[in-house]
Amino acid sequence: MNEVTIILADDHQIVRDGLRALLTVEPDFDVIGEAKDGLEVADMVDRLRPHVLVLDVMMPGLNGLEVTRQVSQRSPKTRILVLSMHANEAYILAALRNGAAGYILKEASAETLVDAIRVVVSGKRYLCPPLSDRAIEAYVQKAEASALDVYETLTSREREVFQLAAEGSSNIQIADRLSISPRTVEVHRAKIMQKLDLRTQTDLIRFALRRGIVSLED
Amino acid sequence: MSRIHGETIINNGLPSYSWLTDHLNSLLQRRNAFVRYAVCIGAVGMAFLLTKTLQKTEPNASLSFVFFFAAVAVSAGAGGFGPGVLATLLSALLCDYFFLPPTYSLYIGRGDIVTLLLFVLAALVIIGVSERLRARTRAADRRFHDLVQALDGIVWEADPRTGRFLFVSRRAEDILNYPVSHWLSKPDFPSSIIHPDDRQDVASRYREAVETGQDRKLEYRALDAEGAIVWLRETVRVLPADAAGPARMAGLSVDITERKNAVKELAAVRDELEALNTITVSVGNSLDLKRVLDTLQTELKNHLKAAQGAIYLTNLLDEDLHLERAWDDEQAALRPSDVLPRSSLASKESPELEHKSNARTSAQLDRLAMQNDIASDAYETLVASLVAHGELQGGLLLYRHKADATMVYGVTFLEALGRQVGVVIQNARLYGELAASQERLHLLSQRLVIVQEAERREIARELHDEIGQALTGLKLSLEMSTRLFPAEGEPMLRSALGVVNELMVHVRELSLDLRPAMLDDLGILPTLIWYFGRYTGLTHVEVRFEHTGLDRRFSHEIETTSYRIVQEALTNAARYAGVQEVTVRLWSGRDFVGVQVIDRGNGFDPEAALFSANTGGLAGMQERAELLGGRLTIESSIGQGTSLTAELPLGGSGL
Repeated sequence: MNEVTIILADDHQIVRDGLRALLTVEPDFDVIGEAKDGLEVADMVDRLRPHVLVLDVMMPGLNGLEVTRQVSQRSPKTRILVLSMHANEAYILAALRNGAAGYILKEASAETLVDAIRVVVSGKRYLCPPLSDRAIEAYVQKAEASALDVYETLTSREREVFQLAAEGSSNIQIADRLSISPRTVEVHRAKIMQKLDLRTQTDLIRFALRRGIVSLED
Repeated sequence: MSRIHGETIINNGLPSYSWLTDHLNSLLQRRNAFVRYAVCIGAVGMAFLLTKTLQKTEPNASLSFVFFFAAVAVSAGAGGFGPGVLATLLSALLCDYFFLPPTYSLYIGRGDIVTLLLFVLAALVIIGVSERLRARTRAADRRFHDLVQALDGIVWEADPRTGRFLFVSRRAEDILNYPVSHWLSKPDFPSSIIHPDDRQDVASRYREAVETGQDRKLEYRALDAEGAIVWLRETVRVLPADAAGPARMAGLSVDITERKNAVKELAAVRDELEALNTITVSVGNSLDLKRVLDTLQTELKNHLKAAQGAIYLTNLLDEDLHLERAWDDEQAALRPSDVLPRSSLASKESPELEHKSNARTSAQLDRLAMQNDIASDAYETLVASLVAHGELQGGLLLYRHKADATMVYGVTFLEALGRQVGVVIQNARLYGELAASQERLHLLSQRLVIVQEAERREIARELHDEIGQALTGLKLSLEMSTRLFPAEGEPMLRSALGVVNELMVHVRELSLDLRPAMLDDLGILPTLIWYFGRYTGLTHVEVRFEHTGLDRRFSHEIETTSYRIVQEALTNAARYAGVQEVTVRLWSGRDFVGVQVIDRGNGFDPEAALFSANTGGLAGMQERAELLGGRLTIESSIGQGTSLTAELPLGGSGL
């Protein structure tokens, strides 16, 4: 069995020492380097070409996610296992998208860590439980832009003004109807146009027609 | 003197030229003594000749008296008492000598004495009657004369062809202080006393009157003997040639100087009020002290023609007057001192005002103006203290060139100006203080938001990085130990490991609560999704999340503010709204990020909530939104749910 070369990247000495101690227990693991600053990781990996980079997501100098991206570009053969405190799909997704092969939580046991390293070295992806592909999938869905109806974001006063404006009322007429000052109407109107990304009165009427707020029969 | 001249003209002047006596004085009354006695003798002579002629044809003695009675009547009527008596005596003598027998002797028979006496008696009666008539005419004449002389105006008459004055009433001497003789004897005099600027106009008006034959009214300035201006209002009429003489020009000139002055004074008062009003209104337009002072300076320059001046304001600390504005448009070396002792302008109780036309005449003003080396004779100094509610606010020190000083601004004006401007300045100062303290409060509460956020971030980082990592290290050591000493230490080490793991979770949660590191690492969208999951887990309130345009990073401030607003609004919703579901909308428009949190729950009164001590974080949210130049709109009413919308400009100034 070939030796698995490993670089540890964590800014805390105690963590690095702990990890090294745990990993060197495994006979086929060989920790060939340690980095404590995000900026030096990519160079070290480039130089030492390890099989695995165990990387803390929180790194001074350069954020772990960014380090992941750089390393995966410059040394695509090195498998990156991200070590993180965040049991959060967004982080995992960000790490995976940046080229990480595995994502493991810091609270995971030593056995899990060793397992994870073996899994990523074998070319597979590793996600530490309770993290799963399904959870990530669910997150991706949530993060996808939903059909937000900007009209819905208008305040009720703005909706009143919008409707009257779409019906062709002037600012003064609207002010009269709603018992507010024409200046206030003007402000509301500008706000509406901005929110709905409309530029002209024609845009406004077109929007209102499309939404069925006013109809041509009226 | 004047009286004599007037009389002279009426009684001895050329009768045909005196329009006064045109229709009222008979020719007879203006005869002199010689003429009067000549008429007397002539009349008696005529009576004698007539009687003589009559006696030749019809020698009846009694008839002879008829002509003599006529002669006496004519003499008395024309000449008065003296000629009447003379005519009577002459008639008696002639009758006695020529007609009473014995003729050609002065002997008087007994019977003739009675006749003669009767004649004299009758003659005296005639004289008495005619003298009475004469007196009445003379009284009427005198009355008219007095009327003309007493008239409050100059009555005059002139020859339109030569322009020579023929008559000027005595009043001329009262009004213009020249003797009447000047008008009559010096042909150039009348036009010489007309103000040079009006001379042309007056001459042309006279010409008009002569040419058209119509009355003309004119007003002009004349100069009296002292050279003072006298305003005259004149009516001119041209009288055509008639029985009384050739055409002449008559006029009545009334002194209207007082009226003119009154009008001028009124205009001056009006101008003062107008200036006061204009200055006060434009100065009062602003509540900003700097702008008030700028406007005041401009207005003083424009309306009071103060080419140079200084505005002082009372310093609240030492109560002295400090120079705020100074200008010197004419470079006339106005060097106002920077500080004036308060006492130099006013005492606390009664603000004292001065209006002096010469800065050097007033020692106080000299002190005020300090080193002013102003060309004092050419300048007028106006000093006003600015007072509001009995408190000295400051002072004005103005110099205007006397040539510009068409308006006289009196003490009353300066007092009123000082009071009005004083109030404006006090208001501006109070407003400034209020605005400053409000600004301080606002900055303080914004600072609070910023400091709090920084603090949270720092503690969160500390917890996560330092303590978290230390715990990780500890955990790894413990795990190592369990491997190294599997037999004896295992159970204890396992339990210790459990505690450390628990601690790690705890620290992580704490850190996330304070401020999720995710917000900095990954942005608003992942953080919110994570937060909603956690929120629902804790509160069992579902979050409907709608968003668009968030697949990008925003500024640190916008992400933090959006997150905090959503967090706060959701906390409120869970606490007060009593709902199972809350909708959160997040979108980025062209130039802003919109955040909206809506629930269909209990609702509240936003006004009351914002101003109550327990704002439920609303004030904080508003502060955060405003900090970014955005705004927060809260729509809610009891039972109608709550809609909270924040708009954060992308190009927001931040701080």
